[in-house]
Amino acid sequence: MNKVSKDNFQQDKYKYGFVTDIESDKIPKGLNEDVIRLISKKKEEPQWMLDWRLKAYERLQHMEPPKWVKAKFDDIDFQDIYYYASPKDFKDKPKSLDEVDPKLLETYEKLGIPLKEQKVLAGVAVDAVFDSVSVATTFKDKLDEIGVIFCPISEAIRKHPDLVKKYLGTVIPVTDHYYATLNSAVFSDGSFVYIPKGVKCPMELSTYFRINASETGQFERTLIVADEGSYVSYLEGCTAPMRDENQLHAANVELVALDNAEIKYSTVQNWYPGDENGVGGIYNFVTKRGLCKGVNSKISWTQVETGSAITWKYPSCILRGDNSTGEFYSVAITNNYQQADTGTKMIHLGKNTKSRIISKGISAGKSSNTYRGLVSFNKRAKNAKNYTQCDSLLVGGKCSAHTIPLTENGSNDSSIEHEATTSKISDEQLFYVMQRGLDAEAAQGLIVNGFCKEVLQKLPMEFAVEAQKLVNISLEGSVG
Amino acid sequence: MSEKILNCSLIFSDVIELEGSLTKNKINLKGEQGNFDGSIKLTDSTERLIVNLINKSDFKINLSLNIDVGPNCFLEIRDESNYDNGSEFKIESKLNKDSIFELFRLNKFNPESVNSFNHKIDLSGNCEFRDFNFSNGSQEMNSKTIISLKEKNASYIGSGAVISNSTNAKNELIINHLSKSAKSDCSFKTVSRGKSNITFSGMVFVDKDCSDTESTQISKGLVMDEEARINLIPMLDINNDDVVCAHGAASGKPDENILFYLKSRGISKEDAEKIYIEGFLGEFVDKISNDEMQKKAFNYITSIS
Amino acid sequence: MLEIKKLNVSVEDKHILKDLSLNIGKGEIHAIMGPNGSGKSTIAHTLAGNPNYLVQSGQIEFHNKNLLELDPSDRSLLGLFLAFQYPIELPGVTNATYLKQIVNVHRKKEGLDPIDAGEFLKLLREKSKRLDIPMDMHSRFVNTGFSGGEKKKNEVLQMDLLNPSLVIMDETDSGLDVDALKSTSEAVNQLRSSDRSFIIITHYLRLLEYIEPDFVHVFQDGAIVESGDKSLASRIDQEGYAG
Repeated sequence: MNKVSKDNFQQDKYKYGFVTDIESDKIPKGLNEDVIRLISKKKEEPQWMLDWRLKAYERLQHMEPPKWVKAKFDDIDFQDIYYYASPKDFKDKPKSLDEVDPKLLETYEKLGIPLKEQKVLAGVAVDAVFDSVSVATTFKDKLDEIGVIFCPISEAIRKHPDLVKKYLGTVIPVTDHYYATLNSAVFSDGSFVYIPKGVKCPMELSTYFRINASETGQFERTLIVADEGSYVSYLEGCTAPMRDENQLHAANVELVALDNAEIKYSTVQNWYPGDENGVGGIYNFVTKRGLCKGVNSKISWTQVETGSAITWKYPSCILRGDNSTGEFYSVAITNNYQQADTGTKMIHLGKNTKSRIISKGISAGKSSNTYRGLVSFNKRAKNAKNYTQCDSLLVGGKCSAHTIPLTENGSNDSSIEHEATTSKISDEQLFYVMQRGLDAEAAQGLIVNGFCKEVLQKLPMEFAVEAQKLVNISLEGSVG
Repeated sequence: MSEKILNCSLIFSDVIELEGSLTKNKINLKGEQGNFDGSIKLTDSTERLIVNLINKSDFKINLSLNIDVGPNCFLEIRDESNYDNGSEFKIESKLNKDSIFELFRLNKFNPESVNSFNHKIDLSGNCEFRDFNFSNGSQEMNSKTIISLKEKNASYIGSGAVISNSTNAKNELIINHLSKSAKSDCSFKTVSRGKSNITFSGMVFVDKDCSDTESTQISKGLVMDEEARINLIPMLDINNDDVVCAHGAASGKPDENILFYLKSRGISKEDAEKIYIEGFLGEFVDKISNDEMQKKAFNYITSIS
Repeated sequence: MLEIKKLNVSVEDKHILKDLSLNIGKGEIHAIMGPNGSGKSTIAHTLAGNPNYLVQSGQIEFHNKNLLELDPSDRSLLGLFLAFQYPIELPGVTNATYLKQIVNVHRKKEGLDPIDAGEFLKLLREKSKRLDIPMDMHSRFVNTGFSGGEKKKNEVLQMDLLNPSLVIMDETDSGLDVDALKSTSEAVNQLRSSDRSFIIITHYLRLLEYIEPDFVHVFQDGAIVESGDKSLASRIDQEGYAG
């Protein structure tokens, strides 16, 4: 037998790489005050929202894009991006699906997210965002009944201004860093979720982000507020067409959990990763942060990152409420020339706060995969606890794995534990499974799925199987 | 390798003095008023050279030292001095094929002093560098060690401990795996008391083509008091798939169960903590293969716990 | 069905198998006995195609095919099964999922559709019962944290599920207590058929008291030094290998 060689991943067939042939309505390229005013006008926003955006833009003038990421890329020309694109003649969100362009429905159908009532995924309410606008939200009536608000953020700004005003920018300050500030100035659409006191949301809420238009950036903004004693599980999915340009996706996601509330946020990120020569792909520069504001609150991030040319994000938790809990479960797979620099920050401020981090990085091809994390215990964080485990798996001799965990313990009544390993798939394991009849590729898929198991099983059931397949697809052609 | 042991001392006083006579091996150090520089060069592989550093100077010691350990040679440096007026060491070492360098530093610094230690060391094939470093005291303590494992079967084993009452300490360790089949094993422990702020930053770099690499890195810290802080940053930068690398880091308070157990046997709180810390630090004294130095390290730990 | 001709194999530059020749006919049971370090396991791993075992010269034909040209997975699909002496742990991979997947690749080879979930569960329950394997073992990760006995039983279970035409048992008896040895041997005996051949590699006689071999080969220093029937095994047991 040929010794199992783990060479470059072949370009897996990115089955989401098609373009929907639909004319789009774009605001002229470039970043300036007029563009921001136009976006605000398109969204029919109140004056306060426009002011908020302009304030962010004003700040942006004095900021520089950060450079410390462990990834190489050319400077982004922020004047050469379309900041807003919507399907042509798309004025207001259609009242019913009958009014939605069939091409859009077809697009989501092809992506495995049917929006038509008779076909919708049972138990999952979906908000479908196409470029800069939300095109449909399913199960709206059912959610209305129990007082759950799940709508595009642009709609929430108009219909629920008090809630938006109260929480928007409280977790990620407008001035946080360049990309977060940029998002605050130009954000287009995303989802807003409010779970009222004591309500356990009976279904998964899900937003599906799709970039379609070329040379366009997507700047979604998501805000989820779980009021006292409530619970919600939210999932986002993302794909984009195959193009030889790099498109910027700079999202801000803010979560707020009040007393005894729990938010579970899952991501299956499968933006176009670029081709096997590293041409094209999405720059996924995302700021995600959750605030455990109340006592006993809990925020849990789960992410499966397989796409994007560059992934740069740290879904984080600020554990302010006493007894609050933060969790981060991550699988990041990089291949070809993909670069990922991802991880989390757990900031322990309250007493008895707990956090748990499980990160699994898999690098193949010529890719670079970095775990970067911060666990910080404030002096007041008495009896705080953290457990971190980050494991890396390397496939082939040309990729790299980096681990940069920072722990700051300023509490004398606490414990931080960090473990990390880096290894390759053992030849013994491959041989054992192949002896039972699985070919090298299937054997590797099985072992890698086992490696990721702890994280994958944290996903909502409806998506766990899908994510497992995604892991396998990413591995196709990686052994020869 | 070297059967015969030759013991000598380097005494820092008004000038630098060498006690003991050398054969082929050379020590050339010059300077005055605490500023010394020079070199240690070993060419004789028939004897194992032990150099004791002894401080009798009233000045801050600024030492700049070049070390060259020839093929098959064995060098041991022991530093058990207390640098009352602070110290600043800059050492560059080169280990040639099949050589060994053992470095022991068991220092109790003056709590008011400022100390720094900078060591850059390159290892050739089959070389071993053993680095054991315990420090206590000091107001500011900066230590930076860069180890480059440049050829096959080069290995590094080391452990460091910082025990402090109100120290700002920064320990940086960079291990570069630049050849295949090199091994590194590092542990760092710290006990942070009072208003100490202690940082350990460890980087293991594995270059492309460095197959058959093994590396472990453990860092652990005890935060003893309200105002004490510990920052641990164990980093990995791996550029090859044929590696087994693991690192672990943990910080927190002493295990209450163990303290309670000891107290239930009639041991006072203070003594229980002392025993706990001795055990905590003692864990890696086992890694010292040199019996005499292992004993000294134990005594050192007992005296400062 | 299996023909080994003048086989020379090295492991890590060490010459282990020296001019080994052996023929196994359909339905035959061959026992290979020998002291530790004689290269018994090398035969097993070479037949299964472990890439660490390098064939220097010689031929192996299995069902009239050149085995040496095939991947380990193709050898498995052709009907060769190796029960490992040290079964490998697969953390994170659930035993049931794994078993189903290996059953399905073999079904695919036969041109059959993947097995239905309910049907698989039924099959698994039935086969596990025969080996005294509790069903909850299947929700654990493959071999991970299994006791020595559980690992060996899991090997025999896989053998049973895959329906091989040639079974190589590499020291399956080591690490088994008397009860486990008995139930494992019983399961193996039930799998005996005129279409299925066995190579049983063992250090001791005791397994052969339960599974009666047709041929016994004494293996020493990389080669067969003596062959005979079952009585040879008893003689070796009394006199030791040196005699």
